[in-house]
Amino acid sequence: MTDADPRAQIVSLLPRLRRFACGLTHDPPLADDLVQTACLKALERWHQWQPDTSLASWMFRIVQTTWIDDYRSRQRRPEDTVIDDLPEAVGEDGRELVERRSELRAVRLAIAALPDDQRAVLMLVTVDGLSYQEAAQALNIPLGTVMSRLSRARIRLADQLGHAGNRHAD
Amino acid sequence: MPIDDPTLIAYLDGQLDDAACARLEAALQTDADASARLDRLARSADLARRSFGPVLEEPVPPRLIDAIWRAPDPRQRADAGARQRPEPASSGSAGWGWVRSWWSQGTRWPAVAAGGALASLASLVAVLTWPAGPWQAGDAPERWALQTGTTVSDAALQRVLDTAASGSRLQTPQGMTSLVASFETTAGPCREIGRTTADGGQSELAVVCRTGSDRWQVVFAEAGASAGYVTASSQRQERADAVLEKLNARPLDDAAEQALLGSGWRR
Repeated sequence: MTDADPRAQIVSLLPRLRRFACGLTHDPPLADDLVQTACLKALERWHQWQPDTSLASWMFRIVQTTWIDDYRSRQRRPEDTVIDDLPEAVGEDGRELVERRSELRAVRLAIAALPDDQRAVLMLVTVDGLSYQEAAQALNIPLGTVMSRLSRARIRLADQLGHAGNRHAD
Repeated sequence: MPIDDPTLIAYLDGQLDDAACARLEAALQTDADASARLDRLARSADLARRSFGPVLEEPVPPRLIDAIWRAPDPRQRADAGARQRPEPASSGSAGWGWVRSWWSQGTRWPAVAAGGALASLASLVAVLTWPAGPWQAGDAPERWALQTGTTVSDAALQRVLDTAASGSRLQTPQGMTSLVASFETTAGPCREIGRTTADGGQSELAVVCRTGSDRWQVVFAEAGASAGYVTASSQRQERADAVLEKLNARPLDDAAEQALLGSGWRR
């Protein structure tokens, strides 16, 4: 794997990086721009990647830091977001589709309304399936911080969707 | 013992060890409230995953893939001679200053149209699958170098010249070729290229022009030992510029170059 062309390794991660960036930006065109910038930055800094560590975690970290450093100020206000531009699942029709679209739109809005740090953890653990340890490495934060941010995000998400849990996270 | 939400979430995420899982599952048997909260948290997590599922499944935009492939291979970072793709000259400009813009770390590659992306990706694949050519590392440099006044006979290089967009760097059996820029000239469409041998020991700057045939004529070529990177004041570059100026060369923008790539360099 480590002998493979670094560009090929990064290209293979693009679907996951785009999904993560969509979660951070809730703006698909901006997400692609962010991913491109992050990938080129990664290639410039390739020597900094430790081959015995997860390339995906390293790439997620670059996307996250690029978002914070270079892009966040360009983010549109939540009411201006283009969440409806996110691709929809295909193969459904009728009332079920309308209900499903409405529900998924509500989920995206709820995720977009989360604080940045909670949204990043939610995207990595709940959506991408990273372990808490991998997410901690990706975001360069302690394991306990991953757990507390994730709990707050998940409870808030459940609240917003009307699936409220209790509030023992803080 | 009350079951808090962080514990339920860790359980759903598979982050509890076997003993903790067993304790929690036993407790859930008698705690209907916690069991209901577990269901609600699981459902919201499932919705979060599903709401981004289509992003994962949709095709990645070709321009994004192409931008990455246009970046230099970091493993070749020590290779010299490649330069940043120049911005197209502004309308009416006859200046050559941009030709002297050299590659440096931090270089960004412009996004290109999907058509260009596909063309350069296709050429990359084609080049990488070629068998080794007649020249190998260790052969005399004069066998590798292009000669002014001759036509390009190396099939791999000819294929690169025919199909790869400016800004690309492509590995062939004979070494690395960097497509610097394309021009409209009195001799027809021309391309400026940089080359390095497979072992990185030799580099070359060349200008080739598409003549009436399907071949590329070498109108300028000058090789020498690689020196890490070539400075902007390189006399070699000045001599190449002089040749292009004699041909009244005007740099082609992306659209014009794509049109020629698509037509096999026939106008």
